[in-house]
Amino acid sequence: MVLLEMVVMGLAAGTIYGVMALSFVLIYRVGKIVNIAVGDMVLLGAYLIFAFSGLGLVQNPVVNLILGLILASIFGLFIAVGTERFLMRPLYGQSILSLIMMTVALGMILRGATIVKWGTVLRVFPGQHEVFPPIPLSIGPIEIPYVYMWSIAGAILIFGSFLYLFRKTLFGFAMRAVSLDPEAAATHGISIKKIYIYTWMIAYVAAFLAGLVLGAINGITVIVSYLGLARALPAALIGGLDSPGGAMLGGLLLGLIEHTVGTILNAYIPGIRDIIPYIVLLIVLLVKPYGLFGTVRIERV
Amino acid sequence: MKNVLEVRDVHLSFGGLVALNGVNLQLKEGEILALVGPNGSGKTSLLNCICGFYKPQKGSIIYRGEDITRTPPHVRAEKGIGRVFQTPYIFHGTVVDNIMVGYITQQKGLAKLVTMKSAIEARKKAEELIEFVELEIYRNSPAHGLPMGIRKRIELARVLMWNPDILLLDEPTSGLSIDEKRDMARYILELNEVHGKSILLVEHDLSLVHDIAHRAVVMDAGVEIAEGTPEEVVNNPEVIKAYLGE
Amino acid sequence: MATSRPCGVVKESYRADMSFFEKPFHYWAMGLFVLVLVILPFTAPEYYLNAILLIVIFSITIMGLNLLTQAHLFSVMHAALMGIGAFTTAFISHQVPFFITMPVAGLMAAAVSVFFGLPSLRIKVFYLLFSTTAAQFIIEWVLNYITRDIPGSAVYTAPLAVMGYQLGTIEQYYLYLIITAIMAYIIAHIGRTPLGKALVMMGEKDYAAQIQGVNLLKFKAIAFAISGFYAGVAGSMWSYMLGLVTPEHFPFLMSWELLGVGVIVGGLGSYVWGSVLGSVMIIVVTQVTTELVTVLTPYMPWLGASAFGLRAIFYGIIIAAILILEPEGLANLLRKVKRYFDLWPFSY
Ligand SMILES: Nc1ncnc2c1ncn2[C@@H]1O[C@H](COP(=O)(O)OP(=O)(O)OP(=O)(O)O)[C@@H](O)[C@H]1O
Ligand SMILES: [Mg+2]
Repeated sequence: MVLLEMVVMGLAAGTIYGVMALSFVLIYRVGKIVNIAVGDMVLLGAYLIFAFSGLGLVQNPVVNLILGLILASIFGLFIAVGTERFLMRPLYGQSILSLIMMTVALGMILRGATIVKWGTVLRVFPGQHEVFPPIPLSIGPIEIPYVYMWSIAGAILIFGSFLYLFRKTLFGFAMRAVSLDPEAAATHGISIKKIYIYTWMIAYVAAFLAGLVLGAINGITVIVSYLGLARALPAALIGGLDSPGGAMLGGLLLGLIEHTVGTILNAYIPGIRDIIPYIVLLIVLLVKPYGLFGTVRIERV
Repeated sequence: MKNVLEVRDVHLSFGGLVALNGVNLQLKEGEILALVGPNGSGKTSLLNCICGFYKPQKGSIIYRGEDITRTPPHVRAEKGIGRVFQTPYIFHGTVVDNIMVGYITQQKGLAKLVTMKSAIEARKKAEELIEFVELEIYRNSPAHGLPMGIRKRIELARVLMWNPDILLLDEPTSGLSIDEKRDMARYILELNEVHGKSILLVEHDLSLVHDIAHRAVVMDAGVEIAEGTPEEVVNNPEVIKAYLGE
Repeated sequence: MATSRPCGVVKESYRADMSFFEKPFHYWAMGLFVLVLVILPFTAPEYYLNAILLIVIFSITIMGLNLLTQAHLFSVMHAALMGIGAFTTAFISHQVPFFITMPVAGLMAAAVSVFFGLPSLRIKVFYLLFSTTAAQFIIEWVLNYITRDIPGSAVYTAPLAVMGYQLGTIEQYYLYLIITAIMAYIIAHIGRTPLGKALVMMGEKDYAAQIQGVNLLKFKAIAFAISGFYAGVAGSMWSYMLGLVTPEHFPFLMSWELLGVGVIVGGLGSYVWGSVLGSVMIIVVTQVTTELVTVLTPYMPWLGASAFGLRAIFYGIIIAAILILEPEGLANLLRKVKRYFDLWPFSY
């Protein structure tokens, strides 16, 4: 029974890892950019939601928080434009290291900005206790914290709408075309710049949603950014870095391992649970470097 | 004459695509063997098998009587197999830097790689080869971005740094002007006649093959379709068919 | 391009090419630089001396990291490797003198570096960033774990002493300068030997390097070992400087600063001057923000707690600006200045 609870908890937590991995994978797939700033985007999301819901525009705390998320996401769209336009665009065609370092710079700027604006004290969302009651929700014999309901619902919403966009719309088609061969796509009249901007927008929105959940679980501090990076990287890697579906499965798998193997090991070696994602990451890299669902490339000589 | 290199019944496929389908080939001591064939016939793949980059699914590579099918690439280089790529691999640095790298091949110990003496020795050797491939004026210019003809010579010089026994040249004259082609042909002949290197030469230019090769092998779609002197091969109806289509 | 030479500079012999100074003017510039370093402690307040010691320490780590990055082995575990060196030193410094602890610290860090670098055989480029991220956190965790019973996880280092004579700050500064000079000479030399060139080639074209007889396992291990050793020695110097070490001293962020500001802003491929400039940048930005915050806090009280954040913003902006404006780093600016003077008075 305890094990069952761990499994459910793991899967529930995994949904939000999947959302972060989706954010990461999108940027990688479309722009071939390894986005080290993903954790900081999550952090920024948490703070923005905190700020916007702090305005108290509506009485109902749940609606207020959702409104905060929506406003933060709208704000995020502008940040996405700025990110693409001023940081990434000047570097297209440059070495992979330059692109990575630029995301590192982005991360530093985002993180620094949140610290300057909101300081280092731990914050909680307004109405935290009403929205995420501390008593767990019991489903039959299993008890899980309320926040995971949000995580599951949010993941389904964002993943569903993303899949719809990616598979069924012309936009998704253009996105896939750009990810395969930007130059060819451009010659067929697809505006690469727009696609890149939209991709960053989706990535920001996904990261902000993750910010809501991680912020609710851990409280809002700079720690959230490391937690975000620590979960997004292994999850995306398990999924093979370039498949959105793989990212979600990777997230679920990571959550599962963390909450079963991690929890059990933690009883013997206190604190080891914190580095379980990294150990998973190392093992995946050594055993299946291209992930469970990624495409294996034979290098041409 | 003795065989320096033997390729025995090599099969190689990438997923469903069969690149080599039972290739046999012998390179004799001191000869220039031309390997010709239409695009995509598997010439480069064969060289990659000989160098150890691709692992053939079946068959074996014999170098001086020794089976090297399982040997890693760098060990094959140490044994004396030199390779010049179809597109030269030039890294950021000067022409001399690019050539000096070849020095490490024959140096076993780590200590030999870092002493001042070895650096000077490597530089001297590199200077000799720069003279051989006539790149004196480019010596200290950044190698990246130089024209194709120069890059191919840089790579040739780099391989010659460690004095390999046999040379695998993958289209050394493609993308070169007439003059550059003539120079390259001259180097190849000199390497063969003066320095006694056995050379496996992949080449599309049949007139060049006719001029410098002792023997030629024709490949098409991963199999060998003809073998003989350059004249015989060029006039072989099967070869004409493979090149020109029906 | 990094290695191009201006016209008018002709080398007669290889020795001339290998020597570090090309013209009398370079001797003068170098002499002046050394002179400044020597008299610095007598003019600068103690507070700045500490900053300079930090610059020295970081530049050693960055030298190794620069070499590693040049071989396209991207690592973000170097803060943790410094931590290994620092902790090794702290643990053994009470028994043995510094000229033993430093190499031992270097070797320990080198071993760990090679261990976590081994996945680079199977994985390439940015995947290595993932594995070294993992390494950073795992090492940090292990350091925390072994010091979990120590209050504050702080381990004390014995004071720096030679034959029982305890070195003061200024003497320590000279000692560190000498060590740095030696380390700088070695790394510059490695860069000029066939080994250094092979590492560059392996980074860019590992297939082509293999055909030149480069054993990838061996050469990648060498690169990780060298750079681990440098980080370990730097960590050891850090440990002596502060007198105590805790795992918090070597966070993940520091690894990124070393790579981002130290290597990229400083100048990838410029092992000595690029590293020194990168290191200067790291420390100067830290100092400037601290002072800025002190000055501004009376007017903007909310700024007080956020020096840390302001610093991150500055680093981010500097990295972004360098990537866009001068991708070859500050070292390239230095090179341009040098070239200007080389051709003087015909510099146009
Ligand atoms: N790494 C690889 N992965 C998949 N297919 C490959 C790979 N390398 C080669 N091939 C395929 O194997 C076949 C033979 O290619 P190869 O490069 O050997 O031909 P080639 O004779 O050298 O042609 P060219 O004259 O154009 O150089 C081609 O169809 C090519 O697409
Ligand atoms: Mg070919």
